[in-house]
Amino acid sequence: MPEQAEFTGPVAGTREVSGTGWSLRDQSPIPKLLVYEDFESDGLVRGHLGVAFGASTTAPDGVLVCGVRPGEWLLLGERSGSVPPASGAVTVDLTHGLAMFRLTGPAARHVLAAVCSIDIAEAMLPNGAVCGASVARLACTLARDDVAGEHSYLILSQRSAGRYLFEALGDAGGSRT
Amino acid sequence: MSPTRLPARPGEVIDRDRPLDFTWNGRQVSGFAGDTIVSALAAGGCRVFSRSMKYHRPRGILTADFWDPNTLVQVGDEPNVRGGHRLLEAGMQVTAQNAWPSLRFDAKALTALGGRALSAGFYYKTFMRPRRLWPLYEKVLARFAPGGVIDPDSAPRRHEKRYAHPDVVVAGGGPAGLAAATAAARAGARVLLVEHEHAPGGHLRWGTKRERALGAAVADAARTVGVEILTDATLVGRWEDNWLAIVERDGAGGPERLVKARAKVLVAAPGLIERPYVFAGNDRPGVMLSQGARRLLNLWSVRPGDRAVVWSANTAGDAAAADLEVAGVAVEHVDARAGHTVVAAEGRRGRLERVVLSDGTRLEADLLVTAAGWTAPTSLLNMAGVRPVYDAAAARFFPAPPGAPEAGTVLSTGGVSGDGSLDELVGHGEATGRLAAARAATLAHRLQGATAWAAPASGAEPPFPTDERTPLGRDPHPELYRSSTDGIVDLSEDVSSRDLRHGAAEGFDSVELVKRWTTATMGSAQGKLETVNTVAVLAEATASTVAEVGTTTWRPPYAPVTLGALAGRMFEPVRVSVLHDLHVAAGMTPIGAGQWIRPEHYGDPQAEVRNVRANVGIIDVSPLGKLDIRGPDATELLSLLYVNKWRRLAVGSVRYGVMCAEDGVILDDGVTGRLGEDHYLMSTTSSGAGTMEVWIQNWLQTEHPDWRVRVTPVTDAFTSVNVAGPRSRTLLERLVDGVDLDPEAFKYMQVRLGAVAGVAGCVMWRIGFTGELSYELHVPAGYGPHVWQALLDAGADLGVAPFGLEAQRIMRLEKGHFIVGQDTDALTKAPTAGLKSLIKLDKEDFTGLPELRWALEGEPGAGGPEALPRLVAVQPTDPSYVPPEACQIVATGPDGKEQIVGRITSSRFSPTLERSICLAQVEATHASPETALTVVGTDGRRHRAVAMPHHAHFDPAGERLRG
Repeated sequence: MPEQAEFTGPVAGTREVSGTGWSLRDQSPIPKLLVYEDFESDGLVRGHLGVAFGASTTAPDGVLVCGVRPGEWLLLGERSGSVPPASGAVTVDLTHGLAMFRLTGPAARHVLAAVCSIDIAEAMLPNGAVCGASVARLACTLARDDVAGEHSYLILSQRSAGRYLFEALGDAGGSRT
Repeated sequence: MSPTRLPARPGEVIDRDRPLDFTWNGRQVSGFAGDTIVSALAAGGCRVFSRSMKYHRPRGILTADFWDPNTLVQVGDEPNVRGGHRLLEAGMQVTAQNAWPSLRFDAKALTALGGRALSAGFYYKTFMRPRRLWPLYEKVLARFAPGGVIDPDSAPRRHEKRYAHPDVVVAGGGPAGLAAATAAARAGARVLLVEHEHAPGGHLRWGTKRERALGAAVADAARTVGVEILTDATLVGRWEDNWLAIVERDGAGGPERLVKARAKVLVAAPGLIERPYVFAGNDRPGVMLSQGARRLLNLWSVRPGDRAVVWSANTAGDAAAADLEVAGVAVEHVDARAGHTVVAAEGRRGRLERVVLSDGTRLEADLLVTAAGWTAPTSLLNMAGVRPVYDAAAARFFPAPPGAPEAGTVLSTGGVSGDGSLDELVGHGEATGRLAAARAATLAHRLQGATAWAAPASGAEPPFPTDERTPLGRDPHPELYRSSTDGIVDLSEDVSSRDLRHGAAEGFDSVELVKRWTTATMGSAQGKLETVNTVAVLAEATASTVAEVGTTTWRPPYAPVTLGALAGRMFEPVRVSVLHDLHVAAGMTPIGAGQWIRPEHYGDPQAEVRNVRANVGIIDVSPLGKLDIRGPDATELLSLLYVNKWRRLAVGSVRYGVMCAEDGVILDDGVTGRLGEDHYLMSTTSSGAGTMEVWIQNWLQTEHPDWRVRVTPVTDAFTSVNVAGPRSRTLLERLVDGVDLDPEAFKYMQVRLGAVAGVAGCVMWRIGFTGELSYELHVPAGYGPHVWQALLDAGADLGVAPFGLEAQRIMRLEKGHFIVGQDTDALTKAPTAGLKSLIKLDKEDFTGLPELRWALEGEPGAGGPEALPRLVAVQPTDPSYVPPEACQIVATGPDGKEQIVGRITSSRFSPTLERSICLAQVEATHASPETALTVVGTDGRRHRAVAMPHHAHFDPAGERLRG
């Protein structure tokens, strides 16, 4: 039997790049669980996860719970207690299916604005907000998840386009200010 | 000191401590940091900067800014650089345009001798006939094409994009624009100000000491309150809902960038643009607009002449005269308001020597400064539906009063709206800024409330405020457009007032028609200098008024932009499998398949086929679409989507299915495995993955929202590997855990879940696209490289090797499997592809059922099966001949003439059969086995071929894949 398998991410070579006021990290190995409200659960899952479409919250076990669509959540992180009751939820593991990058820093918004067409101003995308957005012409899920008071965005795309997205974001970081 | 550079003056923008050397037509010259190309050359005594487009007349400075039509130059490999605007850089290689062999001795100036014959319409009339000579005409005309030279070997430049969503965008950084931006920002709005010039301030920058101080103060105020100011940038277009295109030009700030902005409110404050006057010799070097003269003097300390005539109809002209006198220029001030006009500017060799007035007075001068009036550049407002209305008393167009559909979110201030003192302009700007901010606040409140992820809007929605600004006044101004003589109206296009009159006489008597006939207003100045004069000359020619003629339609772009800016940074998503780097290391030849980059082969596709047929091969099929389908109604969904039945598919089995559109045309195909009672994994074609997801969601969300089923795209969640060949089972037996691979335990068209190479959660199904015993492994994608390498390592003694798309395509063709989109097209209904037995007309419903019933059961001659083409296997009689795909198949018709009866859809040379093999769509009458067919090669030669009894050229009984 071959040796223990290692997770291979979407990005070749270095998994972190940075520039003036921003850094970009590949966090694709983080577990990602898609949760649907079950058909007869009558809001059980939403009640359990405590977050609606367009918002996110950090569960006690550290998992970031994102309301990605009405009745759909994406749980990001190693779960220990935030999985909803089996009777109330349908779950699909998307850990391997999604690339996930974290763009952080005071210039992160500027970098993102070079490739993302939606309004990411404070009022329109506050910390904790989650939305679908086109990033470098790629359908992505965007979650504002500030770190230690610093602007930070989680950007999730199809895994196969992750390498392209990572390069596009890194290139955007070199844009004129 | 340069010949015309003045000693240091207050307000100048040049840094005399930073001299910059550059070349002009190969000659070494110098300027200072802060100079434009033109100011540096003018400071060195240059008077002629280019030759005109058509008549090659020498041209000098007119406006000394972006709009100057006479100072377009070539800089290195960059043509048509606006020398009046582009800042000087050390080492620039600047050359004149439209001149050969030199600017001074331009042989093409001989065209001026035939000037009368070269009037507007000359090209249209002359080069129409004989038509066969057009290629020759084209070559000759190309030699006379104006503009600079494009170097096809130029290094590509970087162009960027950015998105912005400001509350208020202010177009124009003059006093009113700056005041508006500042007031809006103070009211809490996010404000973006776009300034055409290199610094904000507008005309105050080259004004008096007080004006310069005020300009600096309002610019500082804007910066202080957080207005984002883009300089050397132009708002080039406005579309619905204030979708704005802004171009930041290439310069010290970085590469050229297209800013796509969605503003809640647009404030247009473009100021006014000075208008030339039309008279004989008005394009002679030395004839300059008052603002051009003031810019040269006050920004770059360049004295534009020694002896000037200033012909002025307004205070701006008076100020120019005063500035010139201060600079030591001898000035003759001619007051247009007293009825004096200029009729001619005379001179020799591209130099002005005298000015002739309407009373016959001849004044010696090397500089004629004109101040004939203003053009209000209303184009941004016009793009919002605001109509320009002419006011004869003020001699210019104004935007129509509010009332246009989007007037509520498009405001104007400054000179484009009216006249006033500086204080009045600033006051109007501030009121406009406050109004813009208040309206934007209402819209922002509404937007936040309607956006699920936005911060909650606080309080009740504020009312959309009404416009209670005090309008600016309108100063009287004489209507001065053309003198009693003819001159050039459009200096960019060399269109004269005589050309316009001829155009009107030829019947082009509307401004839109005469514009197209003469090309007036279509040059580099884009109408900013010449539109109103064009209108006035046409009004004169048609005995109508300027108001009656009206303006041409102003469309984007406001100012010319580069194609690079529009194309910008290309965002073309590229998708690769997690195995991509391994394929590269293995020497793959890549092929683009939609967004995917895939291995076409690894050197020898024929050898790859032979290896699969003899041993075992592995292929990366990760792009195959995969959908996770769950829920109590999942089976209902499959029954709706596919033409065949699904209710009796056992857990642990897979089934092939075809999806059709409502018209019975094949949309996609693939296999779907039943993983649990209410749980399926569906595969689609690689190219159809996205479309199928949308197709399914559309059915669920619009037709069956009550169905309890969840569909999740999981294409990228799995690395998919097909292990094919007679030794595939042996190979997998070495790596698979938890699955009995015995052929009786794991049969053809079954699915199992287990571990491969220690990786749990793998889905395995036994299918056979290549026609061989094969297993398709769907491995959690992150562990794909591990499993791929394990397969290669474990199967080394079995001869395992990767194979690419080409080998797969050969093998599926040998087996007779069709590919949707290759062997089918947008008209191919399911029966054509030999799917009659798959289509279950006894099902209650499925997509395409009525149409397929008609196709299969229709009356002869009424659209029944005989009307549909058939997909058949075809073998050329010459086994070495491989007809290119899409070759026609012909037959002799009843009339004795050859007619098309089909086409080759797929063709390859089969290394297994050592002959050519094909699939083809042919009419039903030519589809019977053993029918002789004629294939037309690309060279027109006819090749004999025969229709085969089965789609499969190889192993038609399927013994190998069921082995």
